[in-house]
Amino acid sequence: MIEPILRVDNLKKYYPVKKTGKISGHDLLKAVDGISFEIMEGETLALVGESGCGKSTARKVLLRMEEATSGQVFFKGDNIYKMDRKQLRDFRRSAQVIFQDPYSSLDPKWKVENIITEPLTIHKIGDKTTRKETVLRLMNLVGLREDQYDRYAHEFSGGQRQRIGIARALALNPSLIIADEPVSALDVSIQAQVLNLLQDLQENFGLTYLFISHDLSVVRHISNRVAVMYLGKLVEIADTNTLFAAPVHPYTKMLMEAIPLPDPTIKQTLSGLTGEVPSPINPPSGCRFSPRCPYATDICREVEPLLIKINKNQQAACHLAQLLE
Amino acid sequence: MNSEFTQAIKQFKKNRLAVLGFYMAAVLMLISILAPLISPHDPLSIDLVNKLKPGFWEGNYHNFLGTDNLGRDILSRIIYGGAISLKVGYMVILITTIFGTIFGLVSAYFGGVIDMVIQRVVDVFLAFPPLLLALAVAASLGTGIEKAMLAISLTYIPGMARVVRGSVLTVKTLPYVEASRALGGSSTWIITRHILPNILAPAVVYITLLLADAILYTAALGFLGVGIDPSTPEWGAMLSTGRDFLLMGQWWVTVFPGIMIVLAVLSFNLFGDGLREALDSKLRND
Repeated sequence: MIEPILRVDNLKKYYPVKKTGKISGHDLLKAVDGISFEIMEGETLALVGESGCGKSTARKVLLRMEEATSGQVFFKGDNIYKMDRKQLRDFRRSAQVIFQDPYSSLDPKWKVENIITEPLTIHKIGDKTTRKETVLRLMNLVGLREDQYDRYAHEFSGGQRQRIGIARALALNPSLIIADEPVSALDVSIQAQVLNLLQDLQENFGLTYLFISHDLSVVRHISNRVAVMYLGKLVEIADTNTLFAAPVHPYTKMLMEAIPLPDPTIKQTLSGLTGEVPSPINPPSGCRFSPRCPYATDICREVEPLLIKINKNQQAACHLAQLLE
Repeated sequence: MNSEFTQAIKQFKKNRLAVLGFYMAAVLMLISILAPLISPHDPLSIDLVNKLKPGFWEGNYHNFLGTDNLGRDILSRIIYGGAISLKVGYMVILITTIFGTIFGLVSAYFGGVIDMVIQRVVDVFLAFPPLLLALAVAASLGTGIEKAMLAISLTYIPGMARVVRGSVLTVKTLPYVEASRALGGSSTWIITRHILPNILAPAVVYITLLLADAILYTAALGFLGVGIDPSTPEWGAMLSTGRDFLLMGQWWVTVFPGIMIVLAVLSFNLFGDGLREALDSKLRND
């Protein structure tokens, strides 16, 4: 079997939160509650879900930016939670992040040149001349004008800033890039440009992406496989085509229905995702989606469903998966 | 040129009062630096024959602003007093900035128990009325300008630590700090390259406004005769000496140092306010 580039095994992250109205005692906010998936070299896995479902926490614990409560993450076979400082530094060279907000993810006091070479400076790679060459090469690559290298980040537009962020992520020739909502802060017209850039880069450099997003139409465009997250758990993982053609989990189905259609003549039937996302502090027992699920039965409310194989390309965590198909 | 910096200067120049404050402060500093060259007499030489003499308004151009109860030239003492006030002011700023930044930074960046301990100590210090604290410290340390500096610094370090802590707490959660950590940046790297440059604006504002306060507190300590030797040509101490003669008609002993305190505090406050507005508007536009 081929070793996946990233293998996540039952990863959990709980935050202690003060009980309201009490002096002592803590509740646990289960931001990420046991997710497992694999990413193969060269593919794009999308992680989708509503805001507050734990996507960004997942990113943090995946890279060990914060310590996980339990679970393992293997990068090319090595457990990153068993790495020492030096190994972790090396790991950070190979796994890079592109952030959601192109405004606050670039230091306002820094020039573009320094922002892009920050990874090189931190890892003490190259000297002044080679770094300069790298900056110009990367700026070219992501579609920025070379002569803008001594500008400050605030002099650029949102799309250009995201290109700077992408150039910074590429500086160390990483093999894995985690893109956390990289286009959701951009105008729709710019979104396509940035997505195309990400795809071109993937083809040229054989990059692997974990693409975190809440926007299914963006996900459909860029990913090979999709993992749907709800309240800290994965409810469905499938090939993009399979998922969009035949979603199994009721939550996925509702997300699909919520995608706006760019055609005003089609009248959209919104069965609608009703209700609020329950608090991750005291998640519902059984299936976490059961309070909002129109098909929920007693077993859903009592027993937590596991991810089971629906077919070759699809897994879903739903008791009624066979039934609903 | 750093565009942010030029923008702030542009903004600052629009505020006429602040510019006036800046020039007044600049003149004051120039006078203080040149004190030994421009002061007409030795500020410490006593001349009892010519004590309590009025100045130019009664035709006395030898002692332009008159003399005090020991016959010392008031103009010379005021000029030297400026040097002392500013020296104290700058030293207070230096000490406060160094320690306030260290405590605030460590407190906010590392958090947890360290933050808890530092902030409770800060709470204790902030619970004292600042002048009372400075008085108590100055009184227990004894006389001397250096001790007065220390006493005044001690009352400002907790406030500075709070300001720095607040800014660091904001900056450290920003994505570019996280980005730097994800790239493999160490704590030292993140603090020196990302956090310190980005907390500079609020720190600078606090420091500028502190200068005026420090001058005022030095004068207060001098006036109360704590920490500063009464013979020192210090504005507050001069004020205190002249108090006894005010009602007897020798107003000049008190009035001129008083005017200087007002001018100095006013100019640094105007300057500081303008600076804050300029830097804040820059922050707002960002």
